[in-house]
Amino acid sequence: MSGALRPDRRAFLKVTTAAAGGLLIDVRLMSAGAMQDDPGRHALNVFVALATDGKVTITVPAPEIGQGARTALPMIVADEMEIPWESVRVVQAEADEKYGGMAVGGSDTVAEYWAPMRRAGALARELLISAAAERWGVPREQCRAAAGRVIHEPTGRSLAFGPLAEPAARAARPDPVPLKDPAAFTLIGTPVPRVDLHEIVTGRAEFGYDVRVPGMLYAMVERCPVEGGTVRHFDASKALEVPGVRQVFRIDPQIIRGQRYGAVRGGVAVVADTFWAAQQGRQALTVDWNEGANAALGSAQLSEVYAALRDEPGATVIRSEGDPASAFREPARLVEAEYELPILAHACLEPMSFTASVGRDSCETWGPTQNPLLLKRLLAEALKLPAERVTVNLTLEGGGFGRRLAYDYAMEAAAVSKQAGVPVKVVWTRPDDMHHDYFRTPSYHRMRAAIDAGGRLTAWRHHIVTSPLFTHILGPDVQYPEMYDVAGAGDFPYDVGHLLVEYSPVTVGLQLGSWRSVSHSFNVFAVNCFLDEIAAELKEDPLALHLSLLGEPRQRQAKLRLPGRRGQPTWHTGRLAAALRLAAERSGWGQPLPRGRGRGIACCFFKETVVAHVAEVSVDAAGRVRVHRIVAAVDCGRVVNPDGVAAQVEGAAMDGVATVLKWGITYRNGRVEQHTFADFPLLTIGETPVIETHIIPSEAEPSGMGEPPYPSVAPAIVNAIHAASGRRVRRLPIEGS
Amino acid sequence: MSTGDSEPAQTPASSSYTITVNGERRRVILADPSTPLLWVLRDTLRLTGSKFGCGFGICGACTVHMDGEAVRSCMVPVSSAAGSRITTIEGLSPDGAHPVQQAWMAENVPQCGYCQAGQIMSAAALLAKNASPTDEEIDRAMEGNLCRCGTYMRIRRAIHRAAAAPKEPR
Repeated sequence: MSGALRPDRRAFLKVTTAAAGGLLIDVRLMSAGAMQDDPGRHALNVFVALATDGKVTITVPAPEIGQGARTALPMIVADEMEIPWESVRVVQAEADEKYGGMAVGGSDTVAEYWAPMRRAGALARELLISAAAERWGVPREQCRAAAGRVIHEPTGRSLAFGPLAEPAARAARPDPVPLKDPAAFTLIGTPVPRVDLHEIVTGRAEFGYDVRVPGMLYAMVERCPVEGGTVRHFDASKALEVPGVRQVFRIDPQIIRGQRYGAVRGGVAVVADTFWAAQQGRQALTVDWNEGANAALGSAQLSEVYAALRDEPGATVIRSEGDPASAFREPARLVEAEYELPILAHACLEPMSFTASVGRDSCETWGPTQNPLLLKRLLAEALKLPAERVTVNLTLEGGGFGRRLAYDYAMEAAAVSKQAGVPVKVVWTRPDDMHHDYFRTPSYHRMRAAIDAGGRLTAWRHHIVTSPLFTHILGPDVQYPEMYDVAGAGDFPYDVGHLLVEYSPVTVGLQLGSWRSVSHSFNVFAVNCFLDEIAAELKEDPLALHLSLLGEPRQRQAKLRLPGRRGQPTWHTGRLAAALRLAAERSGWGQPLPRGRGRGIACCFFKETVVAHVAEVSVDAAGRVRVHRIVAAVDCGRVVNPDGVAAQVEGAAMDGVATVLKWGITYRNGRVEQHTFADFPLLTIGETPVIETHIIPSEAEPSGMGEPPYPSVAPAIVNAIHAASGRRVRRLPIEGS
Repeated sequence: MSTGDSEPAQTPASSSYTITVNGERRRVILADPSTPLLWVLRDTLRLTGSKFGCGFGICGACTVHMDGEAVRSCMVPVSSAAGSRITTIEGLSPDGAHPVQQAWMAENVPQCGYCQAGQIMSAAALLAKNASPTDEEIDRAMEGNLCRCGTYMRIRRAIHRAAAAPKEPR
């Protein structure tokens, strides 16, 4: 997801940043609240409480969107603490800075919480060792912990953790707090099953849509179908006649300090006893809109805009190396291509909802968000309350994918509750969710390559055209509008003497946002498809071309015209090459396939994670594509839960298949033309390829797997379509487009 | 029976409907006979295990059993459900003992989990009719249950596992 939120996170975290760039959370903080009410449970630090019966309650700071945070993070704590997994109980942290950054976006959760979770487990363990040593009257150096007990090595006597809970909670914090030797990990690296399995399969798991609090009413909001439109007039008379409808009122648009991710669009709210009454009441409304300027915009104009930009230089140069102008002046051969990728919706299976209870001097909320702290902060500002009077409680989340990094629907729930004077759960219908998404930008890519007389790639030009994401987050006046639109292209990792990456913005009349892997989702497609086209032109095997262009295995860095770390991307060519080779080997690359069947290859790096994919597809006589197999090779540092890694690879592979075959949002006169899964289809079980995950073992720090396994899937499939049929796909989606 | 904490106004148009849900006879009073069964389950009876994903019968998250058949409860008006026997995810077994639920846990199927109650109900209905389905039969029976997170490979494995599980003696 977008790193745009990082400055906000750092700004209000009361932590110090370690020299290595990690976040240090002060795990000495004793947890407050619920723990204090339970005399049998003793907080050992902000994340860990131990009951006298040995049960360990681990407070998970990161929300669960299906990415496995509620399993992976407790695994790390439990391993360091030396407790059996069966003794772990997981609770979800409410939004509070003491838990660290909390946001789940950017595929950073395991990477950022790796050290803090280890320290939390290690501190708990060391406090228990201190307590046991004191009880025995022996030096603590003679004691160690294993399987939920402290053992005195010289005598072999041991004490279970449970009875030591109270003295451990009072013990002095030892210094230093040693971390385990990774060779001794017992849980980390194993496929521990999901923490919430039993609740999910028995229907007891609570999602945002399931929340019920005393006195709560349902609400739905009728919003202008055109982004930015406002209510001119509305007639609530028929709505108020629907049994169960309690109130109907206008909600005004609201943006706090330009934070578009927390914008309330406004509209007409219908408050009712039940979902169905709210829906029936809403359908009985009559609303006239001032539609505003976006009503003049639509998808059709994009093609015209792109055509005008085709042969123009970019508005901004992102990266320039060598002398591209002269390299392209009279090349021996020129290869050119254009790629066009559509607007995408997130289509989380759980539509947006949030529950808010706003009183005169407090606000309590419940629901799914990917950024609990930013939501809490903006609620406090919007309601003019001190932060301590605002609570954000997290539920499970029926998908995130970056949609729930925007917290518009939560701010909206607070606005409705405030006006209604009662707790409300604002629920979005499927069409609401489809129409009022924070969409993935459309993009256009104009590619040009120069080949010399010796058949070598000497120059590469990539002109990226999108609607700048940063302007959709903080408005048009941001200093580097293209900040979040060039990763995956500006960091082109291959050895080419002359390189030019340029950017031009276009206007889109929809609200855009973070969509799984953000700019990697489109830039990696263009790069890997165009490399495949160049390989065909050179009559080279695409894998061989990737490997020769990566050159010697080494760490590399590029200089981009962007500030901070985005201006200095780094990568290791050897890691990319290793992933490509592994995916190729496991997929049978180079072995013959029947006619009409082909393989394609692609790779990318996303922060520290490196991924390569080989896709195998068939194309029939009618041109229909079937994806048979996707082989992924992933290098994400040390793996906490290999089954979690496989799950992310599987889900991302399905996203890649849907990206190629099905997904596209269009809009006309400002209105989104898709409404349900009938027109933005999800893949069905019968359309699932075989998906294989191959993990490259590593002892490097864990890096992310939420987004990294997505970007190289679609280009691998498109390249496979070419291998199978000779057809080049340059516009997505291919079905019904 | 109670209709929930805010009693709707008793209008001349309200009607009473009796449905057996998870073995218990429940009588609900509703103003609108077109109220979908899903919302009677979730709002009136407070059984939130059946989920709302689309409201158009496309995603299958709302799947329950009605007289032994898997149905999309968002598309069944309460007036049509009156007199039926309904089983929801909560009633599929005491505490997760159904072979499909056991298989789902053994295969670690869910990611976000939102679609899974509906998936399990459809799978249970399939296996009640076809004890040993092929992959093709599974795909056909399950094609109305959408998963956004991509857990289908695991769903198929779990259905095969449940099919292969030793049957409890009656």
